[in-house]
Amino acid sequence: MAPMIVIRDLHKSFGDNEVLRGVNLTVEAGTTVVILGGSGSGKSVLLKHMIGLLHPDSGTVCVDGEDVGHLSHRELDLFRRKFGMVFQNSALFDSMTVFDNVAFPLVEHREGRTDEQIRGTVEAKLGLVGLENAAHLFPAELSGGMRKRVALARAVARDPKIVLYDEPTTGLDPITTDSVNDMIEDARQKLGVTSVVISHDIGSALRIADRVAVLYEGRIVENSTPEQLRHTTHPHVRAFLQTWFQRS
Amino acid sequence: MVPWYVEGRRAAEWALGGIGQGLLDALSDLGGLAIFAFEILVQAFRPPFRARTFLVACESIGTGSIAVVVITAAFTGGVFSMQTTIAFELFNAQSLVGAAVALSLTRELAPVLTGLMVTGRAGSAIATELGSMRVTEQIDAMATMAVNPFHYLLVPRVLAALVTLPLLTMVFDVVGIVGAYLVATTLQGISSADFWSRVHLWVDLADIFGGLIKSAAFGLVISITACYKGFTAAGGAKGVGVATTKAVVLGSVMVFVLDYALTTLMLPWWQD
Repeated sequence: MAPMIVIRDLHKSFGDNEVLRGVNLTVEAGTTVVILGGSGSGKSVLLKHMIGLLHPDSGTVCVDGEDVGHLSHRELDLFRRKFGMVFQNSALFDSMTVFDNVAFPLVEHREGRTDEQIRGTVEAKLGLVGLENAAHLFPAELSGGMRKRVALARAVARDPKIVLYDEPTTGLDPITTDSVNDMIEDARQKLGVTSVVISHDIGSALRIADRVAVLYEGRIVENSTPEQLRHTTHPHVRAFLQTWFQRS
Repeated sequence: MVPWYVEGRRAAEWALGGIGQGLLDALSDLGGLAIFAFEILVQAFRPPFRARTFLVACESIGTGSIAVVVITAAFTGGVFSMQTTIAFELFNAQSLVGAAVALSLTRELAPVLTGLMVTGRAGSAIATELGSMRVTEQIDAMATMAVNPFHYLLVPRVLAALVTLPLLTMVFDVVGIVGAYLVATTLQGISSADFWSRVHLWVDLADIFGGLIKSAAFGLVISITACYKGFTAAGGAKGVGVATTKAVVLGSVMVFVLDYALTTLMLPWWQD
């Protein structure tokens, strides 16, 4: 498999706070990588570098052969068309209905699509997440789980090559967590997308990941399959996993 | 025990440090605002023109502000008419009330008060809406969908303010002068003919256009300031509140500063 995302020696600070201290990570095309880490470990910062929302202090982020740090504003707009992103709090446009939220990327980048085709695509994507009957609702009328599902439908509306998930299961009940995990697996199996999921939900990570990377003190300290992760020798990762195994 | 002069020096250092930091922050803010305005200008010339979002913004900034502008104009015209009548009675020049009110309104009061009303109503709304979108990551989400937030969110609002401020100022001119006329003729005993003949004699198109040019400039400044403060909001609901307050305060101050600068530039034109 060819690498889709290659991150080399990535450093990022905010004032005196050095968040990323030399991150190295490779994500193969068509796989799901879960980046685990505690709160405030820099997971979201790492994810935002992949899509060019943040720029590295040093190091490189290459996605599909393009160095993100050297793209102009216009190139960045074109580059981002490869992506879909699900934000932690869904980040749905609260002035638009569910239908308009999912249609937004399609309307903005029509690429020859007619209104009828856009309608069909939106209905299909909402069907994929089981929300075909919620198209007329506004985000304020949805539950947390429903908002996450709309965010996923919006993220995959244009059939992107890569989908980034920022803590997709945080704050959800176990049943909704399961359905979100199903959707992430479906997106990879049915649409063949490369997925990067950041999370501190170890159960979800072990279930959906092809590889799990653990971010600790600004570096990736573990990058292995879920099975290998269970037998890790890294003391922090072991402690991190133990808390979950004890709870479950 | 610390000698008094050491304490005095510390207090002076603390005060000067505070002033210096405040100045640096203000300069940094102004620099950020200038770069931000330039980016909006660049995006304004890029296709597509978003007619629908532009009209929605016109409705929000323009139509939504008509009521407050009409009420302010009517009472400002009326009060101004009363005060000038009392002053002009001292040298028996009551017939000039219409001209004085019309000139003051068209050149100064209408654009400035309209600007302040729009800053309070629409400027705060813009800052709050954009600030909420920023802290809930809606603006980031838009950027990840390869939609430029400057182009989608800011350009239509700034263009709408540029267009609607002069229209609202025209409404203010008309309502203010009619308010002044009603008070002057019904309460102050000035004849209708005296009022309108002096207005006609003293007020030129240059006075009206000068006021409208000012209001267009205020529209730009108010909307860009509100967009800037909202767009750069941080820190949750509290941050949005702070951004909104700053947008209104900075927008209002800039209206007065810009008014002084534009009046200085326009005076030779008006005096011709």
